[in-house]
Amino acid sequence: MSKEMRIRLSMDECLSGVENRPSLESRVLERIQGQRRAPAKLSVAMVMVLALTLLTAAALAVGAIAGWFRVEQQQVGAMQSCVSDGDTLYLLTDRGLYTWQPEDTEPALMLSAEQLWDNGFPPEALLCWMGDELALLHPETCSLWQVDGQKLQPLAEYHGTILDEDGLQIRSMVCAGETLLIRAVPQDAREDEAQLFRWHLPTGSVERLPLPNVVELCAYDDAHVLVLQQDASAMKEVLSRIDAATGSIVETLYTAPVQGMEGIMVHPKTRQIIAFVAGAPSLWDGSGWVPMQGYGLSIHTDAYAVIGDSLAAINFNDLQVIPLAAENSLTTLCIRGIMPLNNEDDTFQQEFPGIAVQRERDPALTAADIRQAIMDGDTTDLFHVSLNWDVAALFRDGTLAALPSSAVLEEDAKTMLPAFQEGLSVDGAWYAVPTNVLVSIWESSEAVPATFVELMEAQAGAASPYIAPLWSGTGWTKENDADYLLTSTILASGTEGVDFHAPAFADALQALRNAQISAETQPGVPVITTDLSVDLHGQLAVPVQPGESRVYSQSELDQPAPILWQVPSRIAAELPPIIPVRLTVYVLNPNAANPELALRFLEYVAAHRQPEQDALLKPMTAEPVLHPGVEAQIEWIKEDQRALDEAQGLATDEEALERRINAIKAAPDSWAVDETRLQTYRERIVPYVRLQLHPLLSRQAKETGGAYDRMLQTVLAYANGEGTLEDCLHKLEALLP
Amino acid sequence: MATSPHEGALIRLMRQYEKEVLKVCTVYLRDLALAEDATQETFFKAYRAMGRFQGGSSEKTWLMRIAINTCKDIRRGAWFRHTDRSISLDKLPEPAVPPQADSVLITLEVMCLPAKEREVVLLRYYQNMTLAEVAQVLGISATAVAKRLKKAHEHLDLVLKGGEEHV
Repeated sequence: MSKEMRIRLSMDECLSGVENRPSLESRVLERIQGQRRAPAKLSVAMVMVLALTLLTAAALAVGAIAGWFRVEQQQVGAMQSCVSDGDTLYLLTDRGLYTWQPEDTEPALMLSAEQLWDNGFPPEALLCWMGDELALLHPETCSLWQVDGQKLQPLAEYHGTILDEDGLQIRSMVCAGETLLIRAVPQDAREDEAQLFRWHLPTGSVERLPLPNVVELCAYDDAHVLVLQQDASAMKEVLSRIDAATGSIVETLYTAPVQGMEGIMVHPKTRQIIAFVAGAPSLWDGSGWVPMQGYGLSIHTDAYAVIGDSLAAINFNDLQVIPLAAENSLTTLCIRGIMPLNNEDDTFQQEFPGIAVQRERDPALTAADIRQAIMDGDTTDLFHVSLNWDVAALFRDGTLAALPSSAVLEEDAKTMLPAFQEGLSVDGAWYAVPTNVLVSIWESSEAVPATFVELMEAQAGAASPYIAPLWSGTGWTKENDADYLLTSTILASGTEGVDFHAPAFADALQALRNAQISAETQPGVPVITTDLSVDLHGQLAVPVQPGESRVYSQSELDQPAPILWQVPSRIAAELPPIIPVRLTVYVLNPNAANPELALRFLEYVAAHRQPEQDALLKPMTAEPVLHPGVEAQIEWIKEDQRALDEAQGLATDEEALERRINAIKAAPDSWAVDETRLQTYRERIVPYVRLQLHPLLSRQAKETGGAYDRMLQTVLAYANGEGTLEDCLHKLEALLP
Repeated sequence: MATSPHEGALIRLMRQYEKEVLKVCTVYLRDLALAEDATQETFFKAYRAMGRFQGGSSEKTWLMRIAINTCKDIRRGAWFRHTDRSISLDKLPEPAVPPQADSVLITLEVMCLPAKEREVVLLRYYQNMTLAEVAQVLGISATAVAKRLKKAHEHLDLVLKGGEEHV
């Protein structure tokens, strides 16, 4: 049998289920006749898009306020890219190429998607402003085209050059004179591993420039380009001006912490350099940044441009044009810390027009940083941080302010699990509002060993890496085992003191020594995967009941499918298992410049938390929740069907309509909080969740020479065969505070 | 019920090619829900462009071109990056008869190919198009198609074990 035949027959076999899918004919006809889009079925991805779109539904009204202009996906299509010549913004969407000027109430269509298509151009092309003309790069045909009114004229091709390498994904392109600089990401590489290419148009030559890790690119003038490079090892980003002809750095302008700067722009007419620095739109004055005031952007902004006295930013869902205002012209809420997973900054701004949210990204923010900021008189309103013992210590010692009295926040907190309430309060006063919850569980194709002793026996007997975290895939070493034993023992002690002389701990320690686990990591696919997080949204064919399983990647086809949501091995049979939980929280600065505004933001966050996060925090009162996009879809379907029937003079078959809606609801992935998962979470996970708040797990204790670190070294020494069990236990006791 | 000649033509096209388009979109996007969206969008776009279709290619070639470009649009969207992109046959509708392990391996291997190789394999082998037709669909040269097929072979040869003719 030929290869071709084998491929065809194999795919026919695997795709035969597609033949039985209901036809999409009626939906397409409805759309044509009603001009209303009716997605066949909303995947999780699509509901995320719709949820984001719905959240921004009030945007148009806001557009009239304070010069903030906004256009949504429904109006012009999904945004792909934008460029500006200083006076006019050119916007490419999946519906075509649009122009917009500050006096326009909406973008004007310049070239429709069909017109682009007729010229062989799908809307995924890249826009570029080339001095005095607009150009489109078509990666699929490796060609550059000039946009000349309604016409597209071919300019150049790079087919067969290194830019045409398989898998290379072009992300952005800027022009400097007769040279194009192109940022592209090799296949399977991360965004910060992007490479820079120089395409000299007159000669057609393309070369790779020796500038690694370019995260952003911006045209400066005919001979120079601005690049933002990331130095991950130093946790810094560097903004430089480079010679477009040689790629050499002419001038280093600024160095910022990683994620401290984004949206590098240069005004095409004035050459003013603008960027978002520490969350604030800022102007470069030659030696430093002058912060201006402006609204915070949506998360996942894809492209930026300067137009007039405003900044334009696009993401898939919308275009925002925000005015660059002088300082103190807007009321600004300042936040520092981790970026939110929700789009809460943007939606809060829409809810409260005239208030700007400025967020300084600081993914590594620690309790010590917060303490120092407060001592320095910093007036940041809120800090967004991961809750640990050190942050909780700020509550207890009065460094952080208790939250002002709020019925909304009290109502929010009172239905949370007691384990979470304890971490967020001191003596009945609330200090933090949680935003995200990470509940860590294990997964394996077998039942996870019930106790640490059994875990050691199994690990010792395993040929390949037995247990490894999801995020690294690198197997646990002896040190990891010791760390797990120690942490679990400390957490299991709860509010009582840690008792290292308890028989359970001694048995576990002995098992660790007997197992003789290697000190080196081993490659391979583990039997147990740790650090998976509980998620409550419904998924197709991903059950969590014991004994059920799923296959989720080809590499695991040769192995039995995993059993999900397994509780980690307990230290001893008589002790409860520990399921570690991490909360991300907002805390209030006692020096906050806008404490009332900060409180309003916290109330907003508590009231608009994602349904899944809310259910993880308050499982006992949570209910199943449909994805917002699916709810909208159901309303559309009802409206569409009734309108269609009315137009044809028919009475709607409400029973059939109900059946159709029930079919949508029957799909697990229609649910943001799935009933089965919620129930399983309540029964199997909730009884064992623990915040990891213990002085022995503080940053200080874990530093080299700290109490925990010395305990870990003591345990490792014993595991390596040094000393007796009694010596080890005595040393551990002596290290207790 | 169609109310215009174009709608009549659309219905005919859908009845003839809907499943083929859906299968191609399913393997391309590796997700049935997205594939159904892409299929719907493909025929909607075909309807809108019907007046301009001048028969320069076969109907199937024309439809496949629209389908592939629609799939690319979806893939390029920012939200696509946030979806679970693990490759699994779980995201496909269950066949009436469980497929053989060999077939599963081959299908998954095709789904794992880089996008450029996946599309030529889909069109050439699964849709039985000639090199020229594939080139027309993708807007590239027949030489480029052949090059991508060769690369795809290198990836697929590991699961397609001996005895096959060179195609």
